[in-house]
Amino acid sequence: MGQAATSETTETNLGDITATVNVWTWEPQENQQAVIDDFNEIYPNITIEFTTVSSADMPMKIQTALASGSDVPDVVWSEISNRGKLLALDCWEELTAEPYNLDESLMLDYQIPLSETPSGKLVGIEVSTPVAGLAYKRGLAKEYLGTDDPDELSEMFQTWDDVIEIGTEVVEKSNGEIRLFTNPDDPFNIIKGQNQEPYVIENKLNLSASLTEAFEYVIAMMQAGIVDTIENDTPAEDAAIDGNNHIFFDCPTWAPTWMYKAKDPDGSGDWGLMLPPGGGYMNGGTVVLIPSAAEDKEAAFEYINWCYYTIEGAVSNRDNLDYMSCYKPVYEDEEFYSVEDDFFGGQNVLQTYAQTIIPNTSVPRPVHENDMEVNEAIQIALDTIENSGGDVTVDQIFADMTTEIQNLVPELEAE
Amino acid sequence: MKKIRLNKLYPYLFIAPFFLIYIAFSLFPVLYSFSISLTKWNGVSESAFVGFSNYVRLFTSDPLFWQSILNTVILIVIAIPLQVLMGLMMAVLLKDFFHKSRGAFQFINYTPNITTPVAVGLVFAILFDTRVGTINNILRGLGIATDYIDWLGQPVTAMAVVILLLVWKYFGYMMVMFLAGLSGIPEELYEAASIDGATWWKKFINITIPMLKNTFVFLITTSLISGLQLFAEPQLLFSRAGGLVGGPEKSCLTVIWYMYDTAFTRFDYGYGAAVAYGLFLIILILSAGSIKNIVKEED
Repeated sequence: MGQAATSETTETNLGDITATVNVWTWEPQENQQAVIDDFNEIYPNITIEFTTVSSADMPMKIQTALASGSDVPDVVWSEISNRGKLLALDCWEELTAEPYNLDESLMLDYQIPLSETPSGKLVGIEVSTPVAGLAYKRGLAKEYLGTDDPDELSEMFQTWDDVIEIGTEVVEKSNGEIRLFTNPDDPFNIIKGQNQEPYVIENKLNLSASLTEAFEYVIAMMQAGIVDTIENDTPAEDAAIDGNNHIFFDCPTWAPTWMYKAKDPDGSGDWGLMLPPGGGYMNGGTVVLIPSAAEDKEAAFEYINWCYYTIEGAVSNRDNLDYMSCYKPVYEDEEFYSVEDDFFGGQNVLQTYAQTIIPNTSVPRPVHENDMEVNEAIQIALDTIENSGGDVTVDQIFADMTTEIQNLVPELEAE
Repeated sequence: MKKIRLNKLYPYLFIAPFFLIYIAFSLFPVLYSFSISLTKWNGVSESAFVGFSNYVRLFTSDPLFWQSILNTVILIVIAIPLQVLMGLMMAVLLKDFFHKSRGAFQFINYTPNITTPVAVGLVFAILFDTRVGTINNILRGLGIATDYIDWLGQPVTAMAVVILLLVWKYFGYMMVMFLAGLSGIPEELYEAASIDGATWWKKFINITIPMLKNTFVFLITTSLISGLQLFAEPQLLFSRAGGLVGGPEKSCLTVIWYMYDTAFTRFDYGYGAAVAYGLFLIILILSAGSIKNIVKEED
């Protein structure tokens, strides 16, 4: 088995494994080819073939494949938005069991609840740990906050009350031109991500404990006028990233490369990364899973294990994709993730994640089968907050959310 | 003797492919989905028989099902007359007034109909984007609107955008069908009316419209059937990452979208199948009257 699983495997028999591993993912193979090439240096007879399946279509395609029993992939990428549903299908290989014997203790602690089925089986390995910090525009920070140093900014914004207080001053100083965030979703997701309470406990909604703080702060921010109302994932948000009217943006590990460098090509040097108020949080993320009905399960495990659960795989992912491993031992070397990034004003972005944000990230709530329904109700609530300018109470929001969720899942009890 | 037997078999052999394909791809799925509707099943694990409880929930305690029915009816009741009217208007104008450029106009107006729904959804989402959308920029540029209008974020405007999309996409098809219908009207009727001193409008009302009756019936019937299956256009319009199922306040949630979301996004195949059968029952009840009339007319 793979190097992280057991150590006695020799290179000779690794090269003997012959298989074609079919990976279902939305990522183009050319993005990953350099990592695959590195993998093939050790496993020359394992061919990796990517099949493009969009994240939204993944659950349906997997079900169709499993139901028909044909063309079942060997590896499946699973994004956080529908992971609860996918993991609940209970059709995945348990990676800590025979014959894989993956050592769970070597996985970053906060990653484990995001990779387990409802029955507690560890079935996934994260592609790039989606821990998130707060990106900011250096020019605006210097002008309106007096500094663009990430440590000084973290010191300045220790709590969400600080955010509201200082944000109000920024809005006043700029005559309403500058706001801290593009929309309420960003601060909401951070506060929600820092909360460990499950949404559902034993078939009963647990909204108050898991979401009250996030909603209260976001309503207060909306009332203070420090967040804008630009919708996520729209051309308008792209324009805001490229523009100069918003200071802070949420920033998971994949965002510097795939979001900000891509959407603000002329912004080199104007970006910074800091620890958010309250610490790091999880945002998005993708785990790789092996279906129990897959044909080449062992070769599939060798592939995902090498790529995402070994030092060598972590090096390849770091050097080729800026991806950050969920394999705990890599963080023992402080210099493992250490690249100065000109786009971020020469800041050592990977090291900021590895040494500042990850140690300050708490274990998140486990994924749940009904995450999708709760998140949908949250999105409706955030739209309500946005449209009402914050003129809504948390009690009203929870009442509406409960109705929304129970319409979709009548089995869930209200609080 | 053998030849006679074979001769008797031929008709059955010739019609067998249709029946085999019908049984495999229509009858079996219809019956199988009914059996699924009596279960709770996530598509992978063992299914559990729950009797008619999915139907009880559907008809007694599921506001989303009734809302999706109402949304679908509102969308098609407004969109279809507009499509028919625009299609007829374009067809008559092209036939009577644009002899030279008719081909070009026909092509231009029919193009939306063959454009893939994904592209249409994307284009309309960009057109009606709140901040950078073309429509808002034009309205603000002309001074008609001072604020950004959240077209896709409010129930009424979101529905209006879906209706506009449907009219834009399908009126070209209606136009082509009306042009075909118009070509079947004998020219003598118009000549005789002209001799009698009839104006263009009178000829349109008294000759064109009555002679297009069959085209009207065909277009309205097929549009109603496809309208009740409305799914791709609204779904793609709101399909951006994080976009809400059904649009703002579920105002654009159609029955088929609800069925798709239930079965294929939330993995509740049993209830999804019940939604599909619920729609089938409602269509059956609604169309019972028309079927009766058709049977009567045939008698």
